[in-house]
Amino acid sequence: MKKFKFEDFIFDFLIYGFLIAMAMVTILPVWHIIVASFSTSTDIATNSGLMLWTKNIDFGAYEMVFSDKALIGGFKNTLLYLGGSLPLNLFLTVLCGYFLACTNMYWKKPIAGLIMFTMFFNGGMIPNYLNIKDLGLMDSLWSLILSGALSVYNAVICKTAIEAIPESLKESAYIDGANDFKVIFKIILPLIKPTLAVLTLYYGVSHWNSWFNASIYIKDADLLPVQNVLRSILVANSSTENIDADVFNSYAETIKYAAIVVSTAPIMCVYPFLQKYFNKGVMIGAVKG
Amino acid sequence: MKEKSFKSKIKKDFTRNKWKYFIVIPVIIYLLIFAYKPMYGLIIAFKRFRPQLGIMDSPWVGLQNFKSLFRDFYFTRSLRNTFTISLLSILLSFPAPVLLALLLNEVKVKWFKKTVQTITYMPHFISMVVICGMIISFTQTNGIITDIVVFFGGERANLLAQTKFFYPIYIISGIWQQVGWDSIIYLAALSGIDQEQYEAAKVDGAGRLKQMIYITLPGLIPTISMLLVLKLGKVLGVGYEKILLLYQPITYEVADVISTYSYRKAFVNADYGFSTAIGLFNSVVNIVFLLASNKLSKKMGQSGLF
Amino acid sequence: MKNKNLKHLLVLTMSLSMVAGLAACGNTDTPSANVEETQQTVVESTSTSTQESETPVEPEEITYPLDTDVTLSVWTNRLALNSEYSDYTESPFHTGLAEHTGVDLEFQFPAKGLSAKEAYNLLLTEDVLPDIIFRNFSNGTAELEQLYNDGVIYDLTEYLPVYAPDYWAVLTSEEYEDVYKCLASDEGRIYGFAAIYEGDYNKTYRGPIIRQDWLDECGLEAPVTIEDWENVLTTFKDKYGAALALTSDRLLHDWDGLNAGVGAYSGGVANWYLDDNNEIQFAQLQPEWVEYMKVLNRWYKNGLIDPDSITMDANALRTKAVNNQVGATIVPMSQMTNIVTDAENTGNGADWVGVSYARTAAGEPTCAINTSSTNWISKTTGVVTTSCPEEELITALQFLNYGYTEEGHMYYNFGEEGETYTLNAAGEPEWTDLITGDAQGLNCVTKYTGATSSPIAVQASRFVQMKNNEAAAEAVYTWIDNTEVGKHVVPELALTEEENLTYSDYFAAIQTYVQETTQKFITGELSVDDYIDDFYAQLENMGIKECQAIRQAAYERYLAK
Repeated sequence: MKKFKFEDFIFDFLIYGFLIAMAMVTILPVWHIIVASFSTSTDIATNSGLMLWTKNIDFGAYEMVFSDKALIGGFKNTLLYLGGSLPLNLFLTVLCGYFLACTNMYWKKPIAGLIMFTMFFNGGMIPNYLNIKDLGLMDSLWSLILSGALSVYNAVICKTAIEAIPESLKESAYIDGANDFKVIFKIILPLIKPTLAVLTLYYGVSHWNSWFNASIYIKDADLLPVQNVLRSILVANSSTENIDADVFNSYAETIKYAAIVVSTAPIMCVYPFLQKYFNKGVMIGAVKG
Repeated sequence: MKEKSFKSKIKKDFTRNKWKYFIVIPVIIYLLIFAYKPMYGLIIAFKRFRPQLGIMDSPWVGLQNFKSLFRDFYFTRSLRNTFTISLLSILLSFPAPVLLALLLNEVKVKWFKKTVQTITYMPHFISMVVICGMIISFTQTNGIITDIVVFFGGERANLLAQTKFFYPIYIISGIWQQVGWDSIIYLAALSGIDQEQYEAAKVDGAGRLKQMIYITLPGLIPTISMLLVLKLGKVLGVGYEKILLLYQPITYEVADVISTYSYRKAFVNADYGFSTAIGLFNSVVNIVFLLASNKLSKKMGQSGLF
Repeated sequence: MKNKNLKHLLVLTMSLSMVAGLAACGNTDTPSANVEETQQTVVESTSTSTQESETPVEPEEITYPLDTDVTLSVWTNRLALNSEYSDYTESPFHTGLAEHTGVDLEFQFPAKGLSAKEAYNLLLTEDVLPDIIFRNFSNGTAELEQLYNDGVIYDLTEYLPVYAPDYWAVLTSEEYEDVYKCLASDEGRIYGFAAIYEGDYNKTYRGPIIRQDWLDECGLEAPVTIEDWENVLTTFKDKYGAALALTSDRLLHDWDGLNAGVGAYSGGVANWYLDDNNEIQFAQLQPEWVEYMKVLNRWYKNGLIDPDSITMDANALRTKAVNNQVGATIVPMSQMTNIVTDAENTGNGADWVGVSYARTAAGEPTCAINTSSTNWISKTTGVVTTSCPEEELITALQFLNYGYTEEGHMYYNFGEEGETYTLNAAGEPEWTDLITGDAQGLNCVTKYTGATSSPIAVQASRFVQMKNNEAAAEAVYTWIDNTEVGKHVVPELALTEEENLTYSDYFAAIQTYVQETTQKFITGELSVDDYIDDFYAQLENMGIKECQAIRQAAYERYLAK
């Protein structure tokens, strides 16, 4: 039997208390948003402090969100963007990661250098913009898909996963006459599945959440991803020239909250299931942040 | 002789590795088009860029863009703000995940630990647009954060419109969003600490607090120093996304950083040459810092990044 | 008729290409050729411009709809879609415009989330531009001149009398001489179709409004001087907890309307004005402005100004007004209409009326200059880009001309006769039930008409009155009563390309600096007394004197025009 130590008890008490407080601080604002999204603007205006519950549950804001053509269109575009991006992302990332993991190649160093250099230096905002324009990609989802097709950081994560595979496995495959493609498909891919899942999540989250590129590459309002639509709802950089607002809208405030909930829910449902893989390759992943 | 051996070496390398080279071709093509080609566009930093004339035909102006850059009141200000934000986040945002990891490490109840982790990871997955939308709504005159400020004796007003609140809002919301996620790396490092040390400490009668300070924390030092050095290397790399969403003319004084200034110069004032000059300056300083910090990291016995 | 058009075009293009000696050098070269060509002919054309009989070609007679299969693309941050529509093909006004003119139109608007200016700058980097750009060119003729020199737009001077006779007649009429003077470059070139206010009534579209019901309850008169205002606002604050609330753009740009109460010529926006000796002065350098800053700071400190004004947008202001948190504000007519309608709908008992600009003393004229300086609406101009092939240029001109014809004027301002409006006994248009019965209220006029911000036409005063409710229409009369509208306003000046480069380089920084400092003066973050000398020194540093000299020189050229 362990000896009860009063000092340790206090210690535990403080730690658990602090962590619970921390979890609360994280979750309460989110909860507030969710509750607010089910309220009316009057409830929100008259409420002070956190909203833990609302008297009148009201789905009006959600009805407005789901009938908002721009928002629905935004979701559609984001899905298209994701659908186009992810396969390409994984394809390039695996190729790049595999190459970086290869050894015993004469040109490995210069080529790897060429690849790694792009992590630290890039043309910047204007040259990238002009490049996309010169390629004729403006005003199409391809501008977003291609400009974010490969993250070298993620390729490095992939490389570490591949390196972790015992050399003997690969060797025996080569001896059996398999070429590099076979090795990738038959041996490497099945073994790094968890890493691929995490990479998919990383790519997916970054595409789902990105808005800046679309704001300069895409002018056609019908092609804007959901974050850009959200931005115009949530962060009104009010172009003051048009002061013609609609009739007074009793959901003007709540629709913001409903839009937040609807746009954030999908990722919230996915990430907990991948959580156990997060610390795979996280060493490099954190370098990125 | 030598010549021949070189050639045969190349040949041998190619026969052995041709598929590997083949595999990397799509990656190289991609990077050439989307990473290296734009670098050529950097020459507009030395031009008076007119979109209609294109990169080639725009007139050269030599170093004029850089000269006006260093004369520019607002550039100096954005430089100062960038440093301030970077340093604040090193001082405040950086230690937070270390602390969280240390605390989580002490939790022996599995489900509790996992729940706290899941919850604190969550904000990382909320988009910047939504985070900023939340911040804007919470810091309005009647927002919940404003309520807290009023509770502690502050004035009831829109917080985002006051220069003195910009850094606290920026930094605290950053910690809120990233602390859980950033603690992962430390938790991973903690799992590598030799358990025997704890046993030995227990025998010596050290309490849990002492164990944490004398065993766990030292175990994290390599990771901490590596990340710190990397962070120092990005001291001018304050991103524009969050600031673009949060700042407004009244807070430019403290909030305008190099990247947002460059953005406005380009897309609001259509001064592309000047804007690119800012970007180029920024990149060069960044890379100098990075190389320096990498060297430092190696000197300190860490692996460094490259 | 088509043949005739072609012949004219042929003559014109041949003469152009002969002078320039170019055959097919591509788009970018053509305009620079134009420069030489027009510079030669300009001397004659300016000297003869008043004698129209000498114009070499007779005006075309144009009948709408045009018989053409040309499609024109139009980029505009004006002619905005009603929020009910996500696409112009759904909008009756936009599709109707295509029908009336007989031209297939493809409208492009700034993307969501970008400011109109950002969107426009991005647009300019494109290789192929839309045929027509219709926007507010904030730097006026200098900006147009730059576009022309870059080969982006056509010089329309020669074409207008022929292919846009109705527009030409309006532009050269005595009534709109001010527009012509501002629009023409120093060399006399005209680059586009100006959106025009019918007159002074339209120019004054923004002013102070106040809760008359509260004034009555407290037994107060409508405020005239700054002291009156302070008194009224203090009473409102004590009795109703309401303040003077403004939208952030007002706070940032100008507080015009009250600044006149101390004789200052601007609020927070860097502003030029004409002093009594016809010299251009910078408002922020005058002692009156310092005085004004002190007044605002005092009001802010005492809670007479809603602190949210720093970030408030139009919708937030509306919400506050509905909730009785606003006692007075400065708004454009359309916002006043909204506020009055909200009050009626919610029955909060608010009675909003327009109140005059502040004056130094009762009966004094106010120097408030919160009006457009000219009849050129915010320098909004329709230009034809060089991406529009020459053979379509005539169609583009004829399309743009439409709004200046009798029929087009009615269409832009009032929509379809019989559908959206009918003429009353006095021959004045009145809305039909289609408009008055719309769930959006008067905001629905953007579905059927194109005059709300600026039409490619003359914006009728009648439209402004009909688009807003009576209270707002009435307020304008209060605002323009006994003012010196335009007396101190600097007209739009044409800067040379060189001047413009220097000027915009310096002045952009000055503008930001003035805005930021003004805010700090108001909120008290900077003490006016302590900081004002530094402020002056910094302005000097940033080149305010140079800017002033440039403006003055341009103004003298303007007077000589």
